[in-house]
Amino acid sequence: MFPGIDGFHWTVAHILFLSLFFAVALTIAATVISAAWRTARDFRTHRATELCWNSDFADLPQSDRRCRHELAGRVISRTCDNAFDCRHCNQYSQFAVLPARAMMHDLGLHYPQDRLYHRGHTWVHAEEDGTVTIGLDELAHHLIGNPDSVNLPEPGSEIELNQTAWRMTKNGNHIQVRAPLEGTVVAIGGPKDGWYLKLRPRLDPETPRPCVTFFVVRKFTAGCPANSSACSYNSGRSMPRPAWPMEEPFSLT
Amino acid sequence: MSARYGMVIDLDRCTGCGSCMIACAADNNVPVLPKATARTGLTPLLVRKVSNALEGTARREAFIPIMCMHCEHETPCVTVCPQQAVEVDKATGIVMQMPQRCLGCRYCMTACPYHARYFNWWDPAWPAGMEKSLNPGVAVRMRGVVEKCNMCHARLHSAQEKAAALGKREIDPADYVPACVEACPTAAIRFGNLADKNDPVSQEAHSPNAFRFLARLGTEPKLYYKSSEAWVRALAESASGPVPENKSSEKKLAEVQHG
Amino acid sequence: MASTALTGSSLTDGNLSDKNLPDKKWIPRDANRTSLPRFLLWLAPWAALLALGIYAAGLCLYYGLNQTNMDNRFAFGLWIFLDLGVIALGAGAFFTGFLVYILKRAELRPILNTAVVVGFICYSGAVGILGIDVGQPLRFWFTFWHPNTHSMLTEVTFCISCYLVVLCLEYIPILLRNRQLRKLPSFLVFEHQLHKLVPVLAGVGTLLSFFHQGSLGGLYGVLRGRPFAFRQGIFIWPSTFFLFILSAIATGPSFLMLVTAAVERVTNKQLVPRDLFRRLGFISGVLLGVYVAAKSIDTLIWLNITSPSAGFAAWQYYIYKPFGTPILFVEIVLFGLLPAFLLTYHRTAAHRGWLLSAAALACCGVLLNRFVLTVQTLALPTLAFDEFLHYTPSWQEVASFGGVLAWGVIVYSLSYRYLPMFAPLKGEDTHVSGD
Repeated sequence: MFPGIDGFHWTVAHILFLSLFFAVALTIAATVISAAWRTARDFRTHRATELCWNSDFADLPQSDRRCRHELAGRVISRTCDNAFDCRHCNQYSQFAVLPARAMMHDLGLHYPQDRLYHRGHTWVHAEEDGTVTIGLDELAHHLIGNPDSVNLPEPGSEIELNQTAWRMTKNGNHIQVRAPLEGTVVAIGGPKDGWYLKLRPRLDPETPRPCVTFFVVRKFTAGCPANSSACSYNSGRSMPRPAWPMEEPFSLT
Repeated sequence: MSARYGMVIDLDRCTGCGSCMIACAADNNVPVLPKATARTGLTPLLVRKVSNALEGTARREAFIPIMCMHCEHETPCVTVCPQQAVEVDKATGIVMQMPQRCLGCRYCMTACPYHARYFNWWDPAWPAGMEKSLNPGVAVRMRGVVEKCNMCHARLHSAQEKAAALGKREIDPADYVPACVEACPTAAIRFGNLADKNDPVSQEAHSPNAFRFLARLGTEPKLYYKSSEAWVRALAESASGPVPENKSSEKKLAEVQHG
Repeated sequence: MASTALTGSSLTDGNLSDKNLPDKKWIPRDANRTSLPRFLLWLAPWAALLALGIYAAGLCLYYGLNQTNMDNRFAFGLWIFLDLGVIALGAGAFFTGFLVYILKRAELRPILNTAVVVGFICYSGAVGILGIDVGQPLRFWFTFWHPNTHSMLTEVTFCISCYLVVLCLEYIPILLRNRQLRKLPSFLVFEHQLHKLVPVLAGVGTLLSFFHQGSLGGLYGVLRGRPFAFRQGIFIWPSTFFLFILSAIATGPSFLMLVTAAVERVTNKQLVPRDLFRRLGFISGVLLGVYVAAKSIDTLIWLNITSPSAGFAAWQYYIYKPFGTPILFVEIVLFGLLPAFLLTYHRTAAHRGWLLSAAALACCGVLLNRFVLTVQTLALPTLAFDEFLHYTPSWQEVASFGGVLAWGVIVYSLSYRYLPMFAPLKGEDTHVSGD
């Protein structure tokens, strides 16, 4: 196979045959290495998240692949030129200012209109003194009920957008609630108070920003719609809508 | 000058005693295989019994020792072995099999028209005590490899060592005699150098009653057979050979015998 | 939605509660799959067969090849016949890839995943069987180390090893499209990048397949010592080299058609556009027609020129029951010309029943062809005083191959359940079940 092997007699036929073989083997190896190298490059240049997003979105059922403004009731229907990637949309602000006709009562849950909602199933209510109150929305409350224990951050500590704001346990399951905003914790509450945190936000809650967020629930019971394919949040990836607080219902179809 | 070792086997003299088979097995450390059948046994030299397919007083029988024919031209087993475990030795014309390199794919066995190649279906084993009678000059083959007659190459090796010890370049022909040749009581198997015109075997190979099996395949075997009986010579080629089961082929045989 | 037809005997139930689908998160989104207990019930007999096959193979590896019924006259037996057959049937993998990626026939895309998985199954099974068929499996690398370029088997070894690697590489993107696996960003991005390079792999696969399908034919065509198999040819390649390639690419699409039809029957869903079978059938039929023509010419040359010049008259081959001249007729006409006609004639090609029957005939034809060359060659006498031989495989041989079949069914079942093997059908592609 290689020159220099003891007792092997090289002929023209061997050279031809083995050259062809090595060429083919090199082509195959080059293909794999090239794919791996390009993958590494994608991660370095941060194209990876975009690829992940694109492929996840393409995975959604046809009915879910709709413009978020359509879902919010701002427009009756529209076709998106941007492949539903709001991050790169230059028309976004035009639609955002239109009034939303929300579908508030999906699943018979109540979503008061005076609050902003985050995909982490928290609500944000802006107070007059510039702070915001953060609590769990009706769906989360419906799923979790009364938590067995709540582990809130100390007042004065900082929480970051979409990082863990506070932790709870229920029936041995650990729940991490994502922060809908970044800021400094001013006061802490609890399930009995109807709110969990008061926060002094760093930015105006309504400032749009692209980000990734997900509601991580480990070993949740099988009955949770969050675990079914019906829940479009289940994959845990960045979804078509940028996740800043919006007065918008959750599409649970 | 390189040799071309071959044989002439006189079928008029072969009695079918089988001494050649036993000598071959003993000299080449062929294992004792209690579970072997006629088709799975290991017989680098096999004496076949043939007849002219007639009955009664017209019946004739003969014995044909079959072993590797050491084909010279486009040797079927050499061209097909995937890892070059077989080659035609340029110095002697012997088709050499390397059991250590053999993968056991048995492609060479498929290729050989003479069915002269045998596979080690079992691990080699001998009855207790018999291993003391093994020939130390011949390596024992492992299970899963192909083997065949190699013209008792170990004996050639001994002859070469002897010649080298005496300071000669060429071996003494009397020193290199394969086991079957030595054992045959009627000297039916004769061994010699076909490339040497003066060798009596070489001359006998060109006698009118000499033939080779399946010569029309074009493999140029170096084993010649000799018979004064026409029906035996007719067995050389398949197309003219008898096929006992089928009546139409018996008609063909009759044509050959009387035509 | 495409999956509308549900009958009582179906293995799929549309609206199961998640209690019966504990592996739901592994199943592609929106896919209807049967309950896990039922799926395991389906797998159970195949797993048992696989276990039996592994046991039989283990016996052969441990005790030696005396466990088989092969002998010095039948050095190649059931395993080699089935290896050649399975590789011929798996040719659909490379040929479909060639048609889709190189010739840009996008209408065959729906069957591409099945082709890759079937190819992977066939080649991995063949390589597995070859591993136990040789007397010294651990010496497999000798062929690479000391290649003999005159030997067709060297060529086969090199090509099949490379091609199995190519098939694995083509299977990996399909695997990585599993719902849970793609959650790992590195897997998802790697799949994306590898998928972009699949045309290169398809090209390499076509080249390799061309050579090894041909060389498998060449294995027998070069046997000077077996005039039944020996053929003249072009340069170093006997005519069987080209005939094997032709028969393989002719029956590959047919086999894919049969596999897909079987999957559709078991899952009781329509999985591919309705006209895909017709297209596959047409490709298969045309190539089969070319093959039959080439084979007929080759057979005539062989019977009248090649074989007699080696001293073997044609009549000698066909005087043994049951291997008489009807075998020639069956192979070329019944399993060759007839399916070629049925697959291309527009009236029969329009009906699924005719298509599938013709595809089955074509596959039988390629299997018969391989059988004739592997088994009949060795059964026939060469020396004038040889007899016609019989051979029956031992249970270990049959069980080993049963294990390969079980391996195939298990791999395909798992692939079907957990991977997006078939793209969702658009409305106009569907048909009423039972058509």
